[in-house]
Amino acid sequence: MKIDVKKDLYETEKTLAQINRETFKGLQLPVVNMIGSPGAGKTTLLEKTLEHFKAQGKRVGVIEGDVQTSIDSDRLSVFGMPIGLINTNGGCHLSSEDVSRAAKALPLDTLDLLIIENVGNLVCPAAFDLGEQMKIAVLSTPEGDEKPLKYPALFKNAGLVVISKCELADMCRFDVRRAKDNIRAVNPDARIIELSALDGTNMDEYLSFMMNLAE
Amino acid sequence: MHESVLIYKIMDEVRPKIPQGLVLKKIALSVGEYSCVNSQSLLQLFEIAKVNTFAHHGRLDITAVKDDGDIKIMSIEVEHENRRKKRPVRNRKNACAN
Repeated sequence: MKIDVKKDLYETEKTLAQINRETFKGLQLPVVNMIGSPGAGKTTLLEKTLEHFKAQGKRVGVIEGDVQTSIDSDRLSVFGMPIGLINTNGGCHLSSEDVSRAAKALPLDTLDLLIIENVGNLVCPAAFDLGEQMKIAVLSTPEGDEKPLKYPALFKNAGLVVISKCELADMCRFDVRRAKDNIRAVNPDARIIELSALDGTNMDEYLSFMMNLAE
Repeated sequence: MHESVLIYKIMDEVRPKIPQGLVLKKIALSVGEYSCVNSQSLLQLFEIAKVNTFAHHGRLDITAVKDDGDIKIMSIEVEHENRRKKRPVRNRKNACAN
């Protein structure tokens, strides 16, 4: 005898993500979930973002996800913005429950933008909704221009794809045009910004994008 | 890590759905291609977790779903325990001939 079940095993996580989303929406707080490989440059981008927002008199909160250590949150703490650290202790992604807990400890009603820096990983973080408004995928040139095709789950759901470390593109034989074609093959609507946080290339475009989110 | 948590979720979900007097035969699970779950690990963990439980004689049947990241228990199959015991043993010779 067959019994229909049709039970989504991530139902609880999805419900909590929806509660997070409604909480953020109620506060009119834009929230982005930044995802990329370890070493892609997510924290460096955050440093530049926090520096810029601080100069503009805006407040950004950060939920910093890392497997171990407070190295990244220590780097960001110099800007005096509220930071919630989550050490997943082996977990390969943040969950909606992690974000709910960390968000409760932040002064959300004083923020112009909340950025979640997910655990460095192109696979698992892409599969879990945290209640964010937008996913930002960070792809660095040393990783290779084929990654959007190899890890489509992340790139197909990203509102913005940042191609970071573009100053290394030639050295790493990273073809920016091919990378953009590969991103558009899985997500024709994604905004793509190639930049270098090191030499400042296209940082204005990226920072304008982030400021627009916060306004 | 995901897989072991999921196996316990599956067991928790299925157990109360089995009518009294019946035993579990099969769990039909759909796994989206974008989920970060290894189907082979799920199968192996299920074989370990089911021992001496209501699922002891059951099997996990996984279907991969394209363009999806969800993991869903689609259905279960149950049968009378005495019927399961009466099922004839498969004739190996015939199986080879087929």
